[in-house]
Amino acid sequence: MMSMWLSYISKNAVVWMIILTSGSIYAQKEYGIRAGIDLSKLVRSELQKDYTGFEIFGDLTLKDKTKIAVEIGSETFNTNEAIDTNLLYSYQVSGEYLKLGVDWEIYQRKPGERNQITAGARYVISSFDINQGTTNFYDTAWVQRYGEFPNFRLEGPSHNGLSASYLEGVLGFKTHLTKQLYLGGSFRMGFLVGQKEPENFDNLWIPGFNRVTDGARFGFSYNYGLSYYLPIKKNR
Amino acid sequence: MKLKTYILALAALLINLSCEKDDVCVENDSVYVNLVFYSAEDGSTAKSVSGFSLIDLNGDIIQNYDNTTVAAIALVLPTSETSYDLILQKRTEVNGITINTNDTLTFGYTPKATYVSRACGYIRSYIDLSTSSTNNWISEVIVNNPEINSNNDEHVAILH
Repeated sequence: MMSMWLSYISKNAVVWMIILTSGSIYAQKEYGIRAGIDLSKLVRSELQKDYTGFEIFGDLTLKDKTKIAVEIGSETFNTNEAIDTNLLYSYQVSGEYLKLGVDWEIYQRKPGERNQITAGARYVISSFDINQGTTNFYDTAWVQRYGEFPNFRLEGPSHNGLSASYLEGVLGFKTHLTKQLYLGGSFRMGFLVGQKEPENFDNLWIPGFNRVTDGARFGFSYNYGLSYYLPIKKNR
Repeated sequence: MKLKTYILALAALLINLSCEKDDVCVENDSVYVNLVFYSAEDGSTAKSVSGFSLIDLNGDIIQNYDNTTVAAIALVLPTSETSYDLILQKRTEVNGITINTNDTLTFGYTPKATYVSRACGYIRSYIDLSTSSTNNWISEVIVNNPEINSNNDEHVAILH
């Protein structure tokens, strides 16, 4: 899995180099490293039996108000499509994602204040498998007569090695609990730019991206978690 | 300021796109094989059948048409198979005695399950349809179109 990510990263190395160099040419007053864990995915994993998710995130302050941000996560989602109570098909999506990009602080902090509002952008690669479950035919005449859709197959097939890439706009907020401990979250809108689709099926849900709507490339997601910030002063 | 513009654009998009396309299946439906009865005399005049049954090879009655007049039958061929046998049993009354006449229709086909969309899921269709029949009360079976992808077409003509 990691080797696949690395190959993606090398493909997009030029983009990352531009981001990194453009950040580092500025003089730095203070920079710091943040690392955190998404609590919302842990809570959702506990409450929703069809979902398991985990995400860690971090950022690195390069310039006064510019950060390089990263999220790494893993999600598994069991779901289905039905009309009323009549099942059409069920499927499971399971995979990982890597989000890399930049956050800018957009809220003018008062001296000494540590709350943050950020706007950002990410490039995301997601790699996942789909396991199809019971599949029925969409057959309106049959459902009128027998009260359920006719079965096509009970299980499968599995589609391995699927992937998607998307751009994400991020609106984030953080409030400090202590000098180093922050609680915060973000709203995200993804824009699908590329995907490897399964044969005779679709990528209807993508890890990190959430539900994919027919005929649209947008997805909406969020995170909410606890992070630890380690400031590092640098004198020039 | 550029960032303010960015936030405004993001907010506007979020509001706009919260109205998603309604996920209702309107595109397609599974396809049935339409068998239409015609007169054997000229092959083009519709000729309904009454008093008959559809029976599978095990002798189980699939459908009874006792007191109805039938111009056409919509048939599901099993998608787990590539051939299917169907007995059409016609009842005629001669001097108060019911006589059963059986003809066996054999279908050869390739079933297809096509993913259409999130809302529709999969639909059933068939390609490479061929038929043959015994000739007791049926005189001829003609496949009009070996590709079965619309419920509006007459796929098979049964001449009797």
